[in-house]
Amino acid sequence: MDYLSLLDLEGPGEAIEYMSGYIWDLNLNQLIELIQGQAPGYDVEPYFYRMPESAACESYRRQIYTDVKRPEVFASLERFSEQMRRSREFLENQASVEKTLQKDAWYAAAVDSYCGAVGRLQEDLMRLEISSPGLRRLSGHLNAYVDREEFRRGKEASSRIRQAMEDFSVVLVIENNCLTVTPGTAGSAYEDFLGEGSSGAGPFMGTLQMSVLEEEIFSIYRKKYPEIFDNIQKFAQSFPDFEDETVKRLEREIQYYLAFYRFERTMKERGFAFCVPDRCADRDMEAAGLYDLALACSNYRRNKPVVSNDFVYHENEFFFVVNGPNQGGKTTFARSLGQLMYFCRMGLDVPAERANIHDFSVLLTHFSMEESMKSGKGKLMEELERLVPMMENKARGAFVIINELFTTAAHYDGCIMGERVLRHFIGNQCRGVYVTHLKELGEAVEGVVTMTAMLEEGGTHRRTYQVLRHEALDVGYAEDIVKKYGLTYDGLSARLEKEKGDWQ
Amino acid sequence: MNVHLLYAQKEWKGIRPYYDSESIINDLGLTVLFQTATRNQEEEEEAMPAAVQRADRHLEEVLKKVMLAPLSTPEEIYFRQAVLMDFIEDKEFTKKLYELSRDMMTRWERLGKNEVNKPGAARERGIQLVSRVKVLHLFVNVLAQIKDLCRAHRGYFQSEGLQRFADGLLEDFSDEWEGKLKKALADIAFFSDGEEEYSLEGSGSNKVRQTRMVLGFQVENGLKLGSFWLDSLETINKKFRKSGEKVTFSEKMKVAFASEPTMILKSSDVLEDLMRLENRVVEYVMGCFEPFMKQCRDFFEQLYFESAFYRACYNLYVRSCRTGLSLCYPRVCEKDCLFFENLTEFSMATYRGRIPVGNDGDIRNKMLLIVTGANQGGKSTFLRSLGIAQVMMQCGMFVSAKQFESGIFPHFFPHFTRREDSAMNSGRLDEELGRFDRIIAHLGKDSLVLLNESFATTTEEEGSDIAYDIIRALTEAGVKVLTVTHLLSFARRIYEEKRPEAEFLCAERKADGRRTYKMVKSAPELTSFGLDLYDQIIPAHSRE
Repeated sequence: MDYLSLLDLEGPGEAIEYMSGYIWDLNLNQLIELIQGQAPGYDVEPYFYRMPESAACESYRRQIYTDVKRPEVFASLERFSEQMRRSREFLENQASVEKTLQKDAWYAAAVDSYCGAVGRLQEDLMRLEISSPGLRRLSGHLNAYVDREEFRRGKEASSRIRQAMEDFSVVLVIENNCLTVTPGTAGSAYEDFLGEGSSGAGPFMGTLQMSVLEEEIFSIYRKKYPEIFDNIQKFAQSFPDFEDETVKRLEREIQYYLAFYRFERTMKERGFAFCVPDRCADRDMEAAGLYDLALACSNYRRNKPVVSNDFVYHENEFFFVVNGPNQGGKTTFARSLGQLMYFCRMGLDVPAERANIHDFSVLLTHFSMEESMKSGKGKLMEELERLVPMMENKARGAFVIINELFTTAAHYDGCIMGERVLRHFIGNQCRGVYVTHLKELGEAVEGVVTMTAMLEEGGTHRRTYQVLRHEALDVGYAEDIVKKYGLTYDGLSARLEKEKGDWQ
Repeated sequence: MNVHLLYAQKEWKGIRPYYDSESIINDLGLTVLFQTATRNQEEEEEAMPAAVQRADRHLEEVLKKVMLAPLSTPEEIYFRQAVLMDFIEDKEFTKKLYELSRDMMTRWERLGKNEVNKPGAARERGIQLVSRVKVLHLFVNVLAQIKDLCRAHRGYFQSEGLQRFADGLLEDFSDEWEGKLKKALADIAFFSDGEEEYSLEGSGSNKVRQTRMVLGFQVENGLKLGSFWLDSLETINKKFRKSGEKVTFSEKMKVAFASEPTMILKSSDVLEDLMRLENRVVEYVMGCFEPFMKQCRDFFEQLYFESAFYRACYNLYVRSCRTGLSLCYPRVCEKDCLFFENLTEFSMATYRGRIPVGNDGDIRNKMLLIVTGANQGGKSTFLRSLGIAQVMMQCGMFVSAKQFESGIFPHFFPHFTRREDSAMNSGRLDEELGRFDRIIAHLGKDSLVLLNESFATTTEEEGSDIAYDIIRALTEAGVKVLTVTHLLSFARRIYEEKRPEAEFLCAERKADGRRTYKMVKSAPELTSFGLDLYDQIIPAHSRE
């Protein structure tokens, strides 16, 4: 039998327990945490640690995601997941209660919720004219599954019990210590104060076990009206087993798409752009309105805007070397490129207004490490050691992001080493970004484009966070001049004139 | 239910005080005024003289807050004046209303008013619930008493504020509504059994309270009882049953012949569950009353606050009458006018119980008033009396004058050089100008600045220049400035420029050097007649 998965083409992907370096370097860990936050009750993080290896797999996922983004499909999958979770919750309840009758009642509810979930999803997928191969395979699996005799009978019997429970209500008359139980419903007192039909939270809600009083109530009720209780018991005996392993696994895989979709939707509502990336090798690789999604999330919380950038690699251009002042947006620009490549390969939408991305083999990153002090080696040594596996990597056509290499080396040495690194990657058909404080770096290397994080015009030293094709700036340091406010006639008059506008 | 006695359309909530109220209190010497207001000043009715009574700190606190939050329209001022007149006329009502709301607070606090509702253990929640029931009893009782009080005094009220207060209460807390509340409280009486302090009918010791309740329950998944509907609930008072006789014959018969399944609950576990159920039902009923309770909480908090203001004013009024001060309700006029007859400094006068020298003035179309003149001539006292009157007018109070008219200045800034500031010291000047800088930042439309001996921390020449620049810029920006100054070159300069917006007053000095402590319109002179003082204080023989 074919292995059916919504994430992989062939067999289950290797379980990845560690995070690759790029996850940290690109602040993807922050994003994955936020996306996980959109999938309570499921563990989707591991799915995001693993990038598909082939473009075919990327395309398989993107087609599924295209279906998932249709509101009807999304709503259907959400409903399915919720009912499945309820079913599991009921099974947990079954396990934790003590009374057999109560166990049976939870079991019937769990089966009912499961059958409802699966049955409804099967119908939905048939009706919604799914186009992705992934979801069509799921649909096929469900069609066969719901047709099985066992499933049909269990679904019918459990839903009958649910009906009976929904109609089940009792009236208690308590006069001192004398308790009478009858079927039926009650009116409501104190309507003057609260309006008609209001109800209160009973004291027995919120616990799973029956209280002693509840036991008494049901036992005296059962003596006169035994039918509903007998049905519950019979059901549990006749349908001992109901779950399908494939359905359960696919339910988890669906959460990969649902969680990202919810995340994307929230960010779009906040005004951040996402798009489906083009994968056209005939046109230049480029993006417009590209931004650092992780920064956007944290800035949003602090009510700060985030600046977006554009880029294009023309023919025979392979590397951007990015210059500019500290805190000017260089690293952010590099990260946003990395995130673009990552989400593209994951088969999801990318944080940009528009993007065309050429194929790449792997994503390699090299950021300077804060904790390098611990290793006891010199920083340069440590940096070089981490560079070795990247340069040994035989895979051609990688996308490479390098952030501030050789900061501790002498200026001259740094330029030479940097050029060698650039030549190496370009020679291996790699594309990428190299962030540096060395202005001359790469000037002599073919295929390198110099870009600069710009300042506002007029010598204010205010950062624009725009990264443009521009030669490195010649920046001096200007002291901010602090002026003490004088209470002179002219000064004060001008101030009062200005403030008068705000007086109410 | 609204109180609305301080404002026609709103309660005391989020009201903005003057910028830097503390300076206003210090510069105008308002603390003694607050203290006077904390004690009942009626000699004949109190066995104890005012000085040895316990001060009511709440009165001080409220008066301070209300006085230091300016009203901004004539309508607001006249509204409050009218209410105050009623309160002063009907002193029985004034005292009774404040007493009721104060006692109410005391009892409420005893019942845990300020305790934070924490989701504690079941037992704790039970105790909290009992308290809530008792608080509801208290609310209903006190509201009924206030209603009776209003009913009895409604005929005397002339002001819109008190008329609406009384009518609103009679309508919102109607007898019908009161009856329903009392019935509901009787229904849950079983719950707070033995806690009779505030209940409406006493319970005989030979009676036992029994409950009858009918509840509908939804049965939830897993055979659990979910939400309930309360069909009925009552407390039945029955004769005491002897302890041996747990189940009566009639109860046994009821079980035997019941058509529906019935049983007697005996085991302690079941009874405990039953108690939880009862608790929850009472909680639910109390939940029904929650909106009403919330209204009551707000209402009583407000009433305690708002009635305290009028009670405090009443104390000040009585004190003034005993001192013999003439009081008036001020009128609002244009910003550039200031009219007063026999204006006295209220704070010290009531504190000392003496009638000070009064001042008259009729200053029209002037935005700058410069007071110069003899040292020890009463200039500062005069400026303070103006400031106090302004503050009292702007909070709807009476003013210590025979007549008083002024504009409304919600942005009001006294800038008094404090004694410790007057040493010449550049750090001090920095500080003083810094204070000024902050005032400038808080100016607004309709601002009034009171300057008392400002810029005295530097030389006469420099101080005059600074004063000239600042005051000129301020008046040109439409800010009204009243200043007492010894910077005579500054005063002369303004005078010689013949600025139409400026008016000059001088502390009167008779030809023989005698001070009258009265301010008269007069051109600023170039001497403060300090020599007079010098002559007076320094013994003649040491001058040779």
